[in-house]
Amino acid sequence: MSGPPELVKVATPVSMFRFSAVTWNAHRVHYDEPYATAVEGHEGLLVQAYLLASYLCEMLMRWAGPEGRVVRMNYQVKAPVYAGTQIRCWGRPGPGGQAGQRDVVDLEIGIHVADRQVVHGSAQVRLHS
Amino acid sequence: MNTRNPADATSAPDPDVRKFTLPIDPVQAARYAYAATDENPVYFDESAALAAGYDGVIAPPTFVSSMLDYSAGPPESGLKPDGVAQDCFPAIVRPDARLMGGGQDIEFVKPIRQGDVVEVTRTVVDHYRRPSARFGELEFVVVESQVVRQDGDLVMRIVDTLVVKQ
Repeated sequence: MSGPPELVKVATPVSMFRFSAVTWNAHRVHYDEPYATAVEGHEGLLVQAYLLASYLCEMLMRWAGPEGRVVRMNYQVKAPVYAGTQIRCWGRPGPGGQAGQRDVVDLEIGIHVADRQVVHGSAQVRLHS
Repeated sequence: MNTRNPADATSAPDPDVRKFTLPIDPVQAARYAYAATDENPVYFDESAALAAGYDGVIAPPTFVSSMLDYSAGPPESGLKPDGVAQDCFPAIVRPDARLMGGGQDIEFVKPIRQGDVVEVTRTVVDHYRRPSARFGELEFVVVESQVVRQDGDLVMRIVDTLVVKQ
C-alpha cells in the first residue's frame, strides 16, 4: 500500500496572522519579523508548530477520504520553519503496517523544507469507518 | 488560579491542573480552516458532513489542539514582551522562558462538532532537561489535555511537549 500523496503548502504571513488570531497566539515570532529576527534570532517569521500539525492532518484526511478518520497523530518539530518556504508534507506506510485493527493503517509522517527534514512523526488512519 | 509565582504554588490547591471551557463556535472553526488553507467541505457544509458519516458539521480535527490559550487571556498590558500571556502556560514554566512547540501526540477519539462545548483539563505530566546540539541544554515540560464533550464523552487526548530555551 502506498502512503498519502505529498501535500505542499506555503505558510504566508497572512495565513500565519489569521492562524495566530484564531488560536489566540500572540507570540510575536509569528507576525513581527523585526522582533523574530533581531530579538529571538530567527531567520524570518516562525511558522506555528500547530499550523504544521494542521497541514499534516489535512494530508491524512485527504488520503483517508470522506468516510475515513485520523485516529492518532504524533509529531516532533526538529527545526524551525519560516514563512514563505515550501513545506512538503509526506507520509508512508510505517514499520507496523496494519495496526492491529482492521482498516487502521500505521504511517510514518514528516515534513521537509528543501532537503531538510524539519518534522517527524507517526499517524494511525482508519481508511473506512 | 492566576498566580505564577512558584513561592505561592504551595498555597494553591494544585497549580498543575487547570480546566477550561471551550465552546466550539462555528465561525471560529471555519476561520481556523481558512487560516490553515484547508477547505474540506465537512468543516463548512452540513450535507457534506452527513454524507461523510458525521452527525453534523465538524471542527477541523486539530482545532482544539491548536489553541495556545483557551481563556480570554490578560489585557495587552499583561502580556510579556514576546507577546505571550504567561498565564496560558503551566506554573512550572518560568516567566522569562522562551518557549517553542516541540510536538504533540493527539488521539482523535471522536469528532468534535461545531456547536459542541468541550471542557479541557490540562495536567503537567513530566518535566525534564536534555542537552541539544543546537540550543545547549533545553528544558521540556509535558502537558496532557483531556477534552470532554458536553455529554461526558472523551473526544480527544492531547500530549504537548513544550520546549523551554534557557
